[in-house]
Amino acid sequence: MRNSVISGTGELGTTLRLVAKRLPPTWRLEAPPTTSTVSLRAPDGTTARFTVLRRRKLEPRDVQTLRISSRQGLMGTLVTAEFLSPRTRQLLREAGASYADASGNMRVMADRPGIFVEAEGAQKDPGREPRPLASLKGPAAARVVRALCDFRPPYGVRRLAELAETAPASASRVVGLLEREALIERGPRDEIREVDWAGLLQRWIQDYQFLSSNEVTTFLDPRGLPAFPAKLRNLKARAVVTGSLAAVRRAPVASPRLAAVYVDDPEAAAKALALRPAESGGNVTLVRPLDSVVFSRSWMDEGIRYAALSQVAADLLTSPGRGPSEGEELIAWMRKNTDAWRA
Amino acid sequence: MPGAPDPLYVKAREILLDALEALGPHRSSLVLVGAQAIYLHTGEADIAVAPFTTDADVIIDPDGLADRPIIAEALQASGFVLGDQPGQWVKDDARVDLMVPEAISGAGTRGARLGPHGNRVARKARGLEGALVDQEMREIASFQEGGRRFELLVAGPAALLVSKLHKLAERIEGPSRVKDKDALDILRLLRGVPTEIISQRLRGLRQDSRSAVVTGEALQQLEGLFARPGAAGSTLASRAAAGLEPEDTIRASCAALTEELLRAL
Repeated sequence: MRNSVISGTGELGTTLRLVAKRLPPTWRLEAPPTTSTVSLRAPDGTTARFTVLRRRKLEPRDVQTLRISSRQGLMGTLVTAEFLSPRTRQLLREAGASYADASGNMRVMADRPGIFVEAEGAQKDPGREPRPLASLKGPAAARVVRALCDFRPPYGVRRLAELAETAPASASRVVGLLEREALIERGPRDEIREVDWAGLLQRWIQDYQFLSSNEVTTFLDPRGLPAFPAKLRNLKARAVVTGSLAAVRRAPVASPRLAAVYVDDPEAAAKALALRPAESGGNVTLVRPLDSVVFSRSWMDEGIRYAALSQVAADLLTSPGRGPSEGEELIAWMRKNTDAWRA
Repeated sequence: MPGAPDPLYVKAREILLDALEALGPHRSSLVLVGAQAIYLHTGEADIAVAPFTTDADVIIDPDGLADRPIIAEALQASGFVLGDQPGQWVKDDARVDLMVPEAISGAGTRGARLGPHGNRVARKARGLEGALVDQEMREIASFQEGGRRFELLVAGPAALLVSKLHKLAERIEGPSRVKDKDALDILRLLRGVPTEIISQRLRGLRQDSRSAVVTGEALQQLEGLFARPGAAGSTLASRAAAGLEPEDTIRASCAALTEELLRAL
């Protein structure tokens, strides 16, 4: 480049070449290889010199720790990094520093000789790797967690994604998190070899909550819970029962006091089931689910469809009242009867 | 979930069948009322969680009652003993109460006047008049395998609702906890029988001169005692169901179903 003398390749070289390109044609940028200074030479031979503070990364909070010389001094300060975020740049401007990054963001200024160069590069760190998944809150996590519980390994991530009806990338991110937390084990060909399904359910409910992850509305069936299943049998819309009413079909739990049913449209279902809005004393909750996975792998018993036990367990563990202890009872039953529910 | 009926209830049914067998040809003049009749309408699956009764309540329709056999003799021959009050027949600690609706029971204060059968075999009772109007033939069977079964008139749900409301209104100020069970029986009827059926039959009761007055009174009691979650009857029912269902659910159910029935009327 004709108006620069820059040695080195690396990120600093790239950054300085980008600065040089922005200089007026008659100016030269000089960066001797062994020093940490940069000079901008004006056509009249005068030179503005900068101390280079070179950082690989620079977070906003790190700006105040930099030794930035005052603008009136002989030497200015030029901060360089692979990427400087908008907030970091703002703080550097406020501190009076010149800066430049490898994506083309720059602001270089000097009073003698007077020069001011400013340009915008990337707004987001182009080198940033996707941040590892930290939570199992969302619908994709629900699908993958449920599939890992419901289907016995071994299988690869791609097959898991098929079973969970989700994108391979989502499955891979969830698997990554679970592997870090030692809830699944990978085999020699990277296949999922072992799933600690009970531990996985416990991990899931740190992020999944029956009452808050789903949209739950409570109703009163004034004719009482014993009369409710018959009505449900005649409901045309898709509906699956979760909670105690499902657990009681398998595990030794006390007779249920609350029916919890997943439906697509709670208002329409309430009407069809002759339920009333309940201010207090509700005995039926209709639940619009976080994701349609709640309908997957459901089972029929006496004309009524129930949610998969992995779903029922997670719902009970995060329900109020007797729910958590009933969830534990159900998990104890699931441990003893793995063949009955795990494909 | 529903288990076998409570042993006390099984026994109560056997004692009722003993009485029906003893009364032979008089059976066509009898109508079953009370808790056993209620459970016939509301389903006996419920009984596993809520049995209370060891009594059988039966009314006698004096209109057309035969002179023979003499009721007292037939019952005594079958092992029944008349208790302290008229109409109270006891056998093996279980009871069959014979009653005549007040509107048709003649003069006198407690015992009903039944001609050759005397005036201590059955007692007068107010509020049961509807059972002469709202009734249906049912089979009353033993809970024991291969046991006896008899065809018998059973009071319909509207007649039972009216009589229970009268009983509850009589007891409401008293200390006895029996009223809790009365209130719960009322909720059982409201829950177990579709509103259209009860309301249609209540209209029939209001139109019949024998039952019009008691039905009107009962509906007023219903509104006062059950139309709100916090009303006295709703509260008693919730107390009776304690441990079976949350109190708030029972209270709200009482109010919702009462409102639905009154609206249908």
